[in-house]
Amino acid sequence: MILGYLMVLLGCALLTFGVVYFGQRAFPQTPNVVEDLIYRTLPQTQCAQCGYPGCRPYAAAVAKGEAINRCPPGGEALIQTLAEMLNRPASPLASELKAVPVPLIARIQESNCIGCMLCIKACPVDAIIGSQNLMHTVIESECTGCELCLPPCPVDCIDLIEADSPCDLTLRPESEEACIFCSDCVTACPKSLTPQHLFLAFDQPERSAELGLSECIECTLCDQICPSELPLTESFKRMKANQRIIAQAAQTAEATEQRFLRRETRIQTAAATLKVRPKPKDALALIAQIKGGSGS
Amino acid sequence: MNSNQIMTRTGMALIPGFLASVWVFGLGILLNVAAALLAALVLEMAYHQVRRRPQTKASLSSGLLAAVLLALCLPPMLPFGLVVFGVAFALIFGKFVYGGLGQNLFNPAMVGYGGLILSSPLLMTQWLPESGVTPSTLDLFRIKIGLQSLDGYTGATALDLLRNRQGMTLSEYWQLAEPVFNDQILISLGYLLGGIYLIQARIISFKLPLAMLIGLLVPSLFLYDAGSSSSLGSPWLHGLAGATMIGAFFIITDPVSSPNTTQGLWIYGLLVGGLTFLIRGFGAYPDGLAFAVLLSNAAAPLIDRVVQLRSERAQNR
Repeated sequence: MILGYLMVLLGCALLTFGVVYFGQRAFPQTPNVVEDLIYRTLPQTQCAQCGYPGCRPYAAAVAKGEAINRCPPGGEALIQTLAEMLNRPASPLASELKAVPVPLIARIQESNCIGCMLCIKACPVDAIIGSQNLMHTVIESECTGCELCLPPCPVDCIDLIEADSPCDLTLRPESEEACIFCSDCVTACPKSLTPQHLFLAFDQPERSAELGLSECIECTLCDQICPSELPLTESFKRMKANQRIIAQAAQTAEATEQRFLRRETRIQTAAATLKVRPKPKDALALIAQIKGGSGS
Repeated sequence: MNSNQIMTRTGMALIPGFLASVWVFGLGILLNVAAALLAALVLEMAYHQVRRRPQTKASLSSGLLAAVLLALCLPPMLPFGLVVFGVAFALIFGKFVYGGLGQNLFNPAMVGYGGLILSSPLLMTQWLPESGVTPSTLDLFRIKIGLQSLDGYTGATALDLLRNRQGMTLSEYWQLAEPVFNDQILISLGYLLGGIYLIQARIISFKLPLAMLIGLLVPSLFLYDAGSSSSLGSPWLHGLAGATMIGAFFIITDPVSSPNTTQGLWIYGLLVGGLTFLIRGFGAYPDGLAFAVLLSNAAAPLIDRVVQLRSERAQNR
């Protein structure tokens, strides 16, 4: 009798094991998923204040277990987000790093600039333009406020100023009642969307795009029929605005990363293709070799 | 009409059926409902305290409604402890663990009923014999608080008798069951009256009750075979016995756990009716409504998904 129960238990365990094991083999996880996710939450300043050369390396390090509190531009908000995302305890910014309470960008005091090119070489995202002996300037929209140009400047003519504050994401509008899933709004919707699912997907841009948020014409018919009197249309308006902001931020981040990567490759190719001028001693030896060669 | 009003009016629509139950089964039903309401009130308030979210009217009234629905499905002599256990099981595991109103997968009342009938099947099938002795009010209280056992008083419902009739033909069975069944007709008609009010007030749609009755009555019509010993019961019996009416109009019409698409509603109703018939005919429990509802609840998201995919495919074609 007991043997029978044990057999059943063992059978179930084996079955579960088999399903999980072969399931994992059939659907292998992409190794970079976590890294990508972390990378996309980082502020893309490429400032290297964390001690890693750029945001991608830091994201990779965090995915492997590096502390999440080493990104000053991200600040407390980023630490909170990462803590929640990775299920790690949130801690204040590492003490040796300087906090950046508001987003900053660099500005060159143009009358004092001597055109030494040092800050252009230091900028990780190629946001400073100018040439030898001529005035330099910072492209405001491309500057990430990483402060890397400050130390090299010989005349201390670079200031950090407050950036135009980016639009904040709006929050879900307050509603007294909960959705009871009566699906009256589905019948009311002239574009045959599912407002109740859209409403739940407030903080999930991908899901709401999938549900056809952009097709909503904001006709307020769902508001009028909803028995819980939910602010449906207002939510959808805010969701659309949020999606614009998110898309813009993603675009900026993408462009910044591209510039950073291009600069990296440029530096590398420059280093690889640089011809080193021979030293005088070597030059003499070379001449002697050439002469000896022609003599024989 | 807002969510709170919908819940309140659904509760009001239960009154005819409730009065008929009290008339038939006595004070026990009233005590069950009162205990369930009190337990639900305390649980709802405690839940909102624990979650530190403001209590909303619709959440409270839906919790109370679920408790009343559960209490109306319970036998009158069930001890208070089990009533409270049922309500707690219904609200905690049917509603709160999912995040409260609107998020639950299963119908809370049926989760509570399922928990009770699985944990104490014997007590859950002991109803009063309608024509026989009824306990005095004092005895009723003693039974309800667990001081006295209830062997002397209890009897079975028409569906219990059908399940355990051991080779009787239906006409033999009917002699035994008719007095029991006639009283149940009164209760079922009470719920039918409330259901018609709900449809008329546009609180529920006629689709779900109709689909469920079709799913239940059509197979019973074809498998009736004029009352031999292996007959599965007439449509008349299936339509008016047990929880059919309260189920069709009050339980499966729960907006939260039923599908969202119109086609899905029909499939869901037919599924509940068909499963109820199957469990009554071949299952281990006399009234299969609770399990039929729970199984169909689990299938509801899938039904919605299939219906949506089909309509998308039809549009693309």
